[in-house]
Amino acid sequence: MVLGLDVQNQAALLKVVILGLISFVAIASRLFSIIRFESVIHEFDPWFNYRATRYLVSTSFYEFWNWFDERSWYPLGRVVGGTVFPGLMVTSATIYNILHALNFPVDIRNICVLLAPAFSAFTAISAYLLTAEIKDSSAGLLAAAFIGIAPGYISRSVAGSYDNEGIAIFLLMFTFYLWIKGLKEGSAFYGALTALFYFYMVAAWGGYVFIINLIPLHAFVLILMGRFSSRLYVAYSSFYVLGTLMSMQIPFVGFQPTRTSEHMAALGIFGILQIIAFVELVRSHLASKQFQILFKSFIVFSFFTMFFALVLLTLGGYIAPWTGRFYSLWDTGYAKKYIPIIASVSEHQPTAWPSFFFDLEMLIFLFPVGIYLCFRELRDEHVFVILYGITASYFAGVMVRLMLTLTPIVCVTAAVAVSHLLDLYLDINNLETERSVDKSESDNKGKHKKLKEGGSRSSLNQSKIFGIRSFDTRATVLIFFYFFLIIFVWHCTWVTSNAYSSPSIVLASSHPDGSQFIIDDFREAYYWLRKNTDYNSKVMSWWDYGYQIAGMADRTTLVDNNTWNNTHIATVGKAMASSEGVAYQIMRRHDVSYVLVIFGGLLGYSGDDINKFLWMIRIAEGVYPDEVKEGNFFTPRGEYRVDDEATPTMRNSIMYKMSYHNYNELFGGQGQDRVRGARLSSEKIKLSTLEEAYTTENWIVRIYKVKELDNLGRSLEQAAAFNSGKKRRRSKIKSTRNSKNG
Amino acid sequence: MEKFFRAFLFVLIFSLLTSHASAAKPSLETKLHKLNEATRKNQGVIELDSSLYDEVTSKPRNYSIVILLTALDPQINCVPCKDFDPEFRLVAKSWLGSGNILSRIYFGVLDFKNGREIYAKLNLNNAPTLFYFPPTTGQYAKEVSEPDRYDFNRRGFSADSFASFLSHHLGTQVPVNRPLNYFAIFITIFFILAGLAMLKLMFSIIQNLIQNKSIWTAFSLITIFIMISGHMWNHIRSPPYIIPQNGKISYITPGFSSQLGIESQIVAVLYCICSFSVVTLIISIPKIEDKTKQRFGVYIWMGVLVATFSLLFALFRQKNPGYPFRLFI
Repeated sequence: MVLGLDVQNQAALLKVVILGLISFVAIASRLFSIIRFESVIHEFDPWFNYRATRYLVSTSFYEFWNWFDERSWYPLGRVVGGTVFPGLMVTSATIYNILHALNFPVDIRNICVLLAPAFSAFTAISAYLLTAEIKDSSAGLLAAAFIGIAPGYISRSVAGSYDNEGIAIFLLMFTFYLWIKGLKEGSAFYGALTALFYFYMVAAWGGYVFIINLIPLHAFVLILMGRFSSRLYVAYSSFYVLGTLMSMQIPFVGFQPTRTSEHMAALGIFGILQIIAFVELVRSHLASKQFQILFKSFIVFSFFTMFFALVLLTLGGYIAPWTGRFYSLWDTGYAKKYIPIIASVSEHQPTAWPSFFFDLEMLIFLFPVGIYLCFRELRDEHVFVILYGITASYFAGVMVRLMLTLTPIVCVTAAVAVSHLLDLYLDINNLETERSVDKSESDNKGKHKKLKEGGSRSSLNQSKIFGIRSFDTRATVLIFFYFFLIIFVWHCTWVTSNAYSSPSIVLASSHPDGSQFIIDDFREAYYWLRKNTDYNSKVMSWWDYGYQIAGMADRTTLVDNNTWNNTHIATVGKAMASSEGVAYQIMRRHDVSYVLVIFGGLLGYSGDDINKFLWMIRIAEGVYPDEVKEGNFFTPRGEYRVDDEATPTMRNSIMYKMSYHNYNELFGGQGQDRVRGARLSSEKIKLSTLEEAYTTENWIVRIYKVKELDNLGRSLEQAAAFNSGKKRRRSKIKSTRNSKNG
Repeated sequence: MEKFFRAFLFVLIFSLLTSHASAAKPSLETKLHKLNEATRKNQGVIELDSSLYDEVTSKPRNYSIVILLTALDPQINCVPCKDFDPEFRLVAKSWLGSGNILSRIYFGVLDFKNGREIYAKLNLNNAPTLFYFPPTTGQYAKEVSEPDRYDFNRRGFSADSFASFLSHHLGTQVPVNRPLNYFAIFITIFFILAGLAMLKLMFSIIQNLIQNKSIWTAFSLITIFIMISGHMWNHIRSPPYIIPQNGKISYITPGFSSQLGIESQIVAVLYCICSFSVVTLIISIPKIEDKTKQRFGVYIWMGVLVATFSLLFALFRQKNPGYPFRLFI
């Protein structure tokens, strides 16, 4: 007896303590960026979420719901309340209000920064619960530990990465846990809870579509396997009806569950379940075999009728076909051809194998082992795990970003595999030589008996299993696996520390002597904008920086990361890709007063605008095919160059001019572009409609002011030519004077 | 001779000066006539040579012409040329049969063996290349008279995208009428019927197959192995399978976010071996009754696992040189 508790309570206490420690580790390993830099919101999208949360906290929920943001997408504006998944903001606002009610005056920024790590602890706990349903609680603990530190999930949930995915993975796991629980027990209560958390998920992330397709798929496969049961009927019906009704309360989702193809599978399965339930009911009152055949054909018939009705309704336009984003998951060439804006995002690229290994290390080959073990048992919940594993691995292969949905199931299955292995090789009872020692300890015996019973329940071919019979083999396997697990922890820590903890608005590099060198150009530029420009001035930049400008500089932007209006983005792309005259007209029409470009040439920062320029051109060409042509930016040999051989179109584009303006002077002759490894042409770049307003310390952000119309009604080019001409004359006069003096 | 030539020049200049239109017209008309003849004769496609190329592309044009510079010579072995050729001819033939005015657009083909001079003049070193020459006079004349180059990389090699490129330039729909392949239809019907018959005859076997757990297990695991080893990346990006490099063949390309075709297969096999050894350790080993055999089995499979895993680490270090961990190798 330890602490006066019996074995069961000891186990429970241990589990709680272990889960607590896992949660602590999960949170702690996500804090690298805070320790290294500061408590700051990362990247792009989080800045919008942060801005929206601040708005929500400073006003009321209803005002947030009706928020029309006139400071983005100028001059269109954006209806934020209706186009946002509010779950994240509402969650942090709720935490904020609770803490303030308890007199903890916490800044909303810190809540936002730490929200994702906190939810990762919850994710670990829900992974424990889910795995405990699939195997047992020891596998659950392993799964919790895996997901706590797996880089695939950390990538989206480090402190400061204030994004929907941060809470969505917890919701995903917990919804699945509740679904499994509801299905196992045939409980409407758990079905309703599933629906509730599904609702939360719908409110939080667009990835809810994965749930609303995976659960019906699970139900459908169970039906095909002849495993229809009243449990399935109760769990699914309660989940579907409540979940759909609740999800329609989110304005962004609205009537989609009844009108789009993504949601039709769930509806169809709901219908089939009703029919089958009805047939089962009638069958229980009828004995005749003919009737059964009749009913079977009735089911098949109604299935096909529904399917064709769906096809007809889609063709008739009553049901929207798959949206481009989802369709591009199936037809992988689709996005590149028709929606370049989706293809341009780096996280929408397919996944090469190193990414899998990088994000999951040894879990990646334990994942199929777990799937195999699930096949051996194949209860209803194992079918779910298998389906989840197959679909998620496909999606992760198509898009790097969806690695996030694969990671939880990999952790669960890998935990199942490792736990099977440990069960087998740690089970001391099978070891004949040590049995005598065991017998003397009565306490341990009871525990081992329990373990053994647990083992016998899960293994099928109990009669043939002899266990592992010698000590040395056990020791070898255990030592190696212990070692593997340690390497896994090192790997995860290394990856988190090196790859996933950079805020991307503050860059770090090291001096030759090893000391850290912080590059804070982005914030420098945004604060300059905030302090030195008029509150109502409009800033044009490529859409990547829209949210940051709105969040940090608090200035109106033309386009931002929401990317809802392709034409508007293409217009900005066209402006960037055009010559000064054309661009000036576009900028005047959009009231642009400042243009912001990112230039990495001095520092070798490769994510700059010249490297993104091709996408701007492509997107612009999609809308203005006559005015912007991608081919004109390539040399006759098909190269994309910025040096002497750059094409005239390239050199005349304002993007090129703004990036390299005055750059040669920095080098006193020919500028050296360190990203593209090119020597620039020594020709001086002249700007007549734009003037340099600010360039940051390392030249990463360059801000240009759009000149006002000329006072004398000349075109700006004429004015600039005149001015420069005057200057030249003056200098001539000077030089002549000098010569006279000399 | 020289005199004659001078006189000719004089007449030419004179006529140009006096009435621009009347001078251009006859030559245009003969050109059109020639083009029409050639088009009708050869199912919508005009086979060009260097001189003819210069002639048909010279200004003024009151017609559009699209010219495919290709190299079908088997010695050159230009695969995209061979792929695109039937598509090009299909669009040309469809245009011929579409009932549109023939002279709106002509389709010309210049093979490398007939037009080395043109290739040299245009400084072209890759085929196929496709130019669209807009009309310079007449009712359809455009402001731009420079030819537009068809971007194969972006638009692809299909007749449909080529036709949409033309439609965009002409402002009318350019049709693509693929001839019905009766043979293919017949074959498909035959196979469907045969398949149905097989289904009927072998229903019980198929039913067994469908209900067989091992088959589903194998299917699922293979799918997963294919997906986690980056096959979708290969499918979307279509990288080279291997790169032969001065005598040596490189199987691994450096770079974290790229891979060769064979690389993902190597990795899939390594994953497979790792997974299989773990499964053996869990499932098969405890079923061995004999102690020595069991010990032997454990050491072998543990050895395989450790070796393969080390190899995986080594492979990964090649892709990501900064990676600090290693396992024995």
